[in-house]
Amino acid sequence: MGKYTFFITISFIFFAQNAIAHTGHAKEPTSIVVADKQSSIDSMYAAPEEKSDPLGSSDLFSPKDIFMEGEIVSNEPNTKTDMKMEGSHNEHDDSNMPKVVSAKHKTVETSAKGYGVAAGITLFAGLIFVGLTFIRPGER
Amino acid sequence: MANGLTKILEDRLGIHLLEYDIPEHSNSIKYSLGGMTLSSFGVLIISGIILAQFFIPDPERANRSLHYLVDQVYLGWYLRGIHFWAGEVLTVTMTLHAIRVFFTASYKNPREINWLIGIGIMVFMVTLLFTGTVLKWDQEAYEALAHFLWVAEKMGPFGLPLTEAFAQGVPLLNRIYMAHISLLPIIVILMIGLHLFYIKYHKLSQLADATNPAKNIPFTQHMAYLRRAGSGILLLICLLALTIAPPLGEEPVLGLEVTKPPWQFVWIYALENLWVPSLIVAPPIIIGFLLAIPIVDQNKERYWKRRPLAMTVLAGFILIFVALIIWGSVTTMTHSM
Repeated sequence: MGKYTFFITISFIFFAQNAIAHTGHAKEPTSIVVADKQSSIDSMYAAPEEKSDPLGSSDLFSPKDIFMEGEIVSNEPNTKTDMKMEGSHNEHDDSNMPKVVSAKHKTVETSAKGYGVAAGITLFAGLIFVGLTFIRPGER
Repeated sequence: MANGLTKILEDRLGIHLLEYDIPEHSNSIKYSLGGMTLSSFGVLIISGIILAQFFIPDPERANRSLHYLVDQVYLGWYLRGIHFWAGEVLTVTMTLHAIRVFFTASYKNPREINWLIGIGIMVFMVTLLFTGTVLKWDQEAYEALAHFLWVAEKMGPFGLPLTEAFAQGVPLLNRIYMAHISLLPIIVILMIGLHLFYIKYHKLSQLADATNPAKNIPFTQHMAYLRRAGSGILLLICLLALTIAPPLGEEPVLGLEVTKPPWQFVWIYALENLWVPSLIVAPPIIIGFLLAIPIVDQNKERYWKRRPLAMTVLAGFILIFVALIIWGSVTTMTHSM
């Protein structure tokens, strides 16, 4: 008896919940959604189309931002071939090879932005070191 | 009143727990190289957090964002210089620290585990150095990454997580950036914590040639010494950043191999010139050798004059590395992958 009562109760709750969820009306016909045809090379990480990108029109992400000035560069590294390469064992291979100059250490110019402040910070660090060396707080 | 406040703070913060005894010789440069390395690491973290505000980890913009930082942002060149030179100073002090530990045989019983942790920290620091080199995304960075990917490819399924094929569509530079600013620093910080814990647990090693027990000082005195040493390291980093700008090239050209790696990696460039697969076999052999030291060397002797074999190995190791670095710096590339 108890088993049947339990089954009926559960059934009632299930149907009642279904009816309340659909506000007691008959179910509306399900709309058919046709998925956009995807390219086989599309990645799940591919950027959405421009029209759906809320930031698409902002300068921050557009090719006109400060880091994209001039040419638009591709995802791949630069493949320009109209320059000559220097300092390589491949130098003799092809006169049309691109030019690549190895980056070197450079002396900082005093005209660099904030050079005076940087010198001040360095001087301050020096003063701290000299002060600790002479006073030696806590070392003795 | 000031003394009363100090006492209250000491009580509440438990500072008196730092008053434990350590050997007096710890207040010397050679026994403070680890602390100096930690100072450089602190500078790297702080400068790195600020640098991250200006860096765009995207292959199209990474290099330009750095040029913008250096040329246009107020003190940007100084900030990048501090980060770069902190890494250079860290490399030097960390290497000297490892040499000192080997020289004084501080890796021996009961400190074997701490040696292994130290080697682990060293490996992750080198990885941080490598990922930092790649992030600037110039020709040097591109070639470094190309070599790394070649090795990862040769490692088959073990190398797959390190390649672009693992997460298609996500630029590898993004993943390297994530590793550089979060994963690797977190691992290193945890390992440093463990390293410090075992230094405290096993205590700083006594001098190997001491006939009498060493005089002790409270650890707080050593902290004061480390504070001075750390300020000296900061001054050195600031001076270098003020005078010498780190290299930064233009965007890379695909398929070329024309640059040399930073001096910390030049030795492997030289080895690669001799035999290309060195790229794959040399790092694990060296790491394996370093890890095996406390296991193989069971001799209880710690004084360097009575350890001729160990000193010969150390001298040979240093000589080979210095020779490879010099040779790699002057030689031109003769190989291709």
